[in-house]
Amino acid sequence: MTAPSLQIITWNLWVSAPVCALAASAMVTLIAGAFWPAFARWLTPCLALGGIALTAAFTILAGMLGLPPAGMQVMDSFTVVFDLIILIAAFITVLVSNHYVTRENLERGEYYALMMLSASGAMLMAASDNYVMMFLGLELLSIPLYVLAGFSRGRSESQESALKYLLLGAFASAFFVFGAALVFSATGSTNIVVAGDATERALVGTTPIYVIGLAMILTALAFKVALVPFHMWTPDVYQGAPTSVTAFMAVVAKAAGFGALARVAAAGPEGSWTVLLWGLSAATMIWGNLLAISQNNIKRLLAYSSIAHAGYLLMGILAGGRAGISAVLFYLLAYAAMTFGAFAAVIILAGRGDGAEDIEDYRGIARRSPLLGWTMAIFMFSLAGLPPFAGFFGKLYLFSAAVEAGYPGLTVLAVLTSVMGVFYYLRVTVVMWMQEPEAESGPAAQTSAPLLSRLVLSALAVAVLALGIFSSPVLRWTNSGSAGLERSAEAAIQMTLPEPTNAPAALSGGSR
Amino acid sequence: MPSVLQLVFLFFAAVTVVGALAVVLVRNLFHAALWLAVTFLSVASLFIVLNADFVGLSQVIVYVGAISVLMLFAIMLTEDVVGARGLSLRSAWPAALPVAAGVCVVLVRWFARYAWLPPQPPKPGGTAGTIGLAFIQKYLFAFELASVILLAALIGAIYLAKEERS
Repeated sequence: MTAPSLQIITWNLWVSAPVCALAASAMVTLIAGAFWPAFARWLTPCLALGGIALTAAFTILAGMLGLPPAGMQVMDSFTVVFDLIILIAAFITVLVSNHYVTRENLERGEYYALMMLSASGAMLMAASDNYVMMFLGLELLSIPLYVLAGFSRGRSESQESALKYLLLGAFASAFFVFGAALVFSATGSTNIVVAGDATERALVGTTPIYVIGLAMILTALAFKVALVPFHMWTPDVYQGAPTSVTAFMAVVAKAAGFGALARVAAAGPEGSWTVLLWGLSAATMIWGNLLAISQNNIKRLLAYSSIAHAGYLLMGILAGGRAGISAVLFYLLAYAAMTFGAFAAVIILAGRGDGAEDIEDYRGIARRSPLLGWTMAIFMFSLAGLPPFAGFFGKLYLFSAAVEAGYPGLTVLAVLTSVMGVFYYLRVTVVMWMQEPEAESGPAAQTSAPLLSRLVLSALAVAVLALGIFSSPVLRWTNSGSAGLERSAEAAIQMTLPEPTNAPAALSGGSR
Repeated sequence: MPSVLQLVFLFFAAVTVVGALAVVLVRNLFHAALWLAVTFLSVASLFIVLNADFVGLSQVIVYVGAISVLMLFAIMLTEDVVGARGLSLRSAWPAALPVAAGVCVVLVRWFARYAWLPPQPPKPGGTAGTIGLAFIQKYLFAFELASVILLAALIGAIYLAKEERS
């Protein structure tokens, strides 16, 4: 060990700069909301938007520096692409939230601060090259989300949603830690790539303990991204949570889980790992789509739809390689745009106190508000995967990656279940456009919304179209991300090769 | 013939298992919480037997000192919970037992067969110093990050618990 005082200086701060910037902005937002409550209505969202933009700048800057891994994190192009997707999603969440929190009297500094902290956890999960750091990211993502799910303290459904999410989420976290401990005890390293490589080269006996550990980690991540059979919490939590939080959860928490899965998959686990992923993906696509058909509540429908989409996304992880991971990143971006769009429309339609959340409440809405009718139709067509929208190209890239990687059976299943999806997505559109509004049947859906909400809604619809039409430049960008993931995995193996690996490095970190 | 250390280990291992079983089998919630404290203490002893003194002492401070006491307070301050019955998981027995037994058998079989890495010799002077230096040097970021997580939990707890001002 060299002089202790030098250790801190050699640790490269730039690698952690984006996460630090976002967490610091969250604190500023929180303090500003507490000190100037009179201005909180516009000050806190503005500070949140500013903080997210600042973090994006830091991310791009840190990415250009070409830094080596440090502090159990990697700042490669995968991290940059992924962080920017998370930041875009967080930015949209703030914009989408504005109308909702104002209407439901939830406008507090804590709301935006917790959301930003959660987003920084999501960024960490994808940036970590070490199971310990990934766990810290998972907790930083989850704990604010538990609170946000119960943010409407007046509504018992919101409380119930928070409690369910907390109990099951804590269980999932325990699985992750136990799995990481098993991986460490089997391989002598908590570094994702090093641990995987050690077992591959059979340096440490047989691999069952590593496989059990990995399966436990997969269980925890499968819970976060809501894969069948770890999806039970999803509909209840999505329905009970404040709608803007549900949107954030559906996009950011899911993206974070897939970022982490991509990192784990890049370590090259094979054999039983692929069988597990195949089974999870197939079960998720079938079950998610089947159950979505019978839903009448729009938030539950979108919850099951998000489960189904997790199944498609898992195909990309299973396919792996540049094409697979790049397709996952593209799909996450497309999924973010269309999911936020759908939830933004749901927020407007529900009206004060979230009265109208049944699909039947939307009868004939399109005639009262063509804007809502058109945008919702675009989001639903895109979620269903119809051309020329973003969802179609996202599925196209995912499916072709899966075919190339040698999973034609799973792809056929995915296409068939997508067709099932068309039914329930189109049903929403049909109700909105073709059915007559019924007199005195439940709470009427609202169509009036502030200018900002209508602008965001239109912008998201345009984004869904644009991502579809101009998909190739976006795909080139996501390709650079998946290439970075591969390069980092190779570099991590190169760094460990000269060392004798049979002695377990206690508390082994990503950087040596 | 097992050594004294092995006998001590087996004793605390047995206490841990008995305590953990009692937590789920005892019908009185207050007693269950007390049994949990016993389990935590014997796990802490296991850590110390295995030369992991820092982890063992943290286990005492955090789990026995803070979490068990917090649980006991929560139970005592909640009406109608002290001495409440019918909370045990008896109805789940038929499903839970085979699953738990199956997982146990599989894990024990794999663990027994596995070629584990050789254990490292105990550090002279305990592990606390090494871990402390690692926390403020190499793993400073991870250590600080844990504080951010705690801060997020604190913000959330205050928000959820404070009185609504109208």
